[in-house]
Amino acid sequence: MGPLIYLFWAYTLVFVALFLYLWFLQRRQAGNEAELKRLSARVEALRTGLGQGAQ
Amino acid sequence: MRAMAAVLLKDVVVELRGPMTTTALATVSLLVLVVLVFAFGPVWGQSEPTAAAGALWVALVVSGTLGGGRVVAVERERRCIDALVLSPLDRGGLFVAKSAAAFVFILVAEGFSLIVALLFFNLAADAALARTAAVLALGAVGFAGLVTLVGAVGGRAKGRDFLVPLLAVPLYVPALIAGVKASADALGGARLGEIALWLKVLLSCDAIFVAAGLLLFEQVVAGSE
Amino acid sequence: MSKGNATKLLGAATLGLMVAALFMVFVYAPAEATQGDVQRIFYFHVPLAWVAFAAFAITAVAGLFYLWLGYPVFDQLAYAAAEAGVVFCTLVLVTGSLWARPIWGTWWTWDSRLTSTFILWLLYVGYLALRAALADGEQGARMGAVFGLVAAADVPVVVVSVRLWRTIHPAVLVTREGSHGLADARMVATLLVSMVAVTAVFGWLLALRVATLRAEARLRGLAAELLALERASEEN
Repeated sequence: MGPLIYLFWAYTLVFVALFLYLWFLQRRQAGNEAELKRLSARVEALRTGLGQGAQ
Repeated sequence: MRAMAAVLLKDVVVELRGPMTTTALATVSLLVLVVLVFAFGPVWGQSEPTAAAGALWVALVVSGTLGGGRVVAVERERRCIDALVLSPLDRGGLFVAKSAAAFVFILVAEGFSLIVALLFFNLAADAALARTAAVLALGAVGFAGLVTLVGAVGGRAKGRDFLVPLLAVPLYVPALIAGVKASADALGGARLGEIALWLKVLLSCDAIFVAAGLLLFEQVVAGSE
Repeated sequence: MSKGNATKLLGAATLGLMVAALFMVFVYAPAEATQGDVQRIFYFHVPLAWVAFAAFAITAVAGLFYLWLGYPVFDQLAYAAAEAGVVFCTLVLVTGSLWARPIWGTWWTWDSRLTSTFILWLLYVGYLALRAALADGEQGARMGAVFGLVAAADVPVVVVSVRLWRTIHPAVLVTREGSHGLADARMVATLLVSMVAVTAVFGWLLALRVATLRAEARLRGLAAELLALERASEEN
């Protein structure tokens, strides 16, 4: 194995690791945002429901 | 000062009534030493200062993380931590009292291991051994403070028993390096002046961990319900 | 929305920098005289190390600010920096190992720098374990800050003691990392561009991680609010 190919694999390893971390974070954040939307919609619905009940 | 002594005395009296912690720690130290004798044990009749020094420090770390890590946790289990936090003792004083208790437990276990190591590794009961004991005691000061702080930090976590060694041992690395080197040299006959460099490292570790405990213990026990 | 655009801009800039850095590493920089092409791993190894150390410093400083002022954003920054720092520190150890194998003939040696970096890595893996074991929220944040500060105070002593240990110990290796001497100006330029590129990647990942932690804190708040509202609506 030539040194350049060795080097290529070394850099590939670094980039794969960084991309995996990035991918994991982005997936997690996408999940968080969907959950935030869902929860705030439910909170909003309950609030308006309660508001009407009080009137 | 009196309140500090009272808290320390309380832990010691509880221990004297039923020596759970010290017997458990002594037994664990004994087992550690047995395993290390199998690995690095001396040839018939020969003494092995380096192996003995390593074994003593392994015993210190194991007994310290097991026993010292519990001095704060046990107050949480018994739901006494609030009473202690509300007592006139300030948080730094509480830290000092609790690490003093940990220090006493570690010292008892370490004294026991020293006697066992004396037999197992064919050491001589001379001034070299006394100097080694002093080095170990110096290391135990910092370790008692460290495990008290770290035990309180990880005290409410799931899997606390795994967490304390995981947090304490890497922090204790400088003292381990210095302590193992200093004890091996001391057992080999070096005078205290010859191992002054390592003793300085040990002292700075003691200073850092005790200072960290005094400054940060307040943050650790605050809001514990 | 402007925040999202800023993140996207940072992402695009980072990608551009990375491409430039890789071009310089593989094509622009001349091969080093004694170590040959393998030396090129150094152009990322050193920036990764600098970023990892900076990350751990951020954890300590942000933790201090958290204990002082109590704003959750400081804790989110501290936690995010520790996690990204562990990722980068792992890569430092891996790239160092990949470099050591052809140059020193061994994957690992207890050289003082390697040992210190490894202990540093252990410390912050411990930090992550602590955070994972404690519940999210105020308690975990405070314990993390305390541990981060103790670890930061410990690091100088670790470095000194490890150096003493190695110098008193018989030297196994005479070839030290001192062979850094960058003879060529193109090598220096390559290192600088890689430094900026890797720092940008770190900034990007850090920002993203802080965003996830903020979102999760808001989620916890919303969940609590939802529970209270549901109870109130049942009572009605």
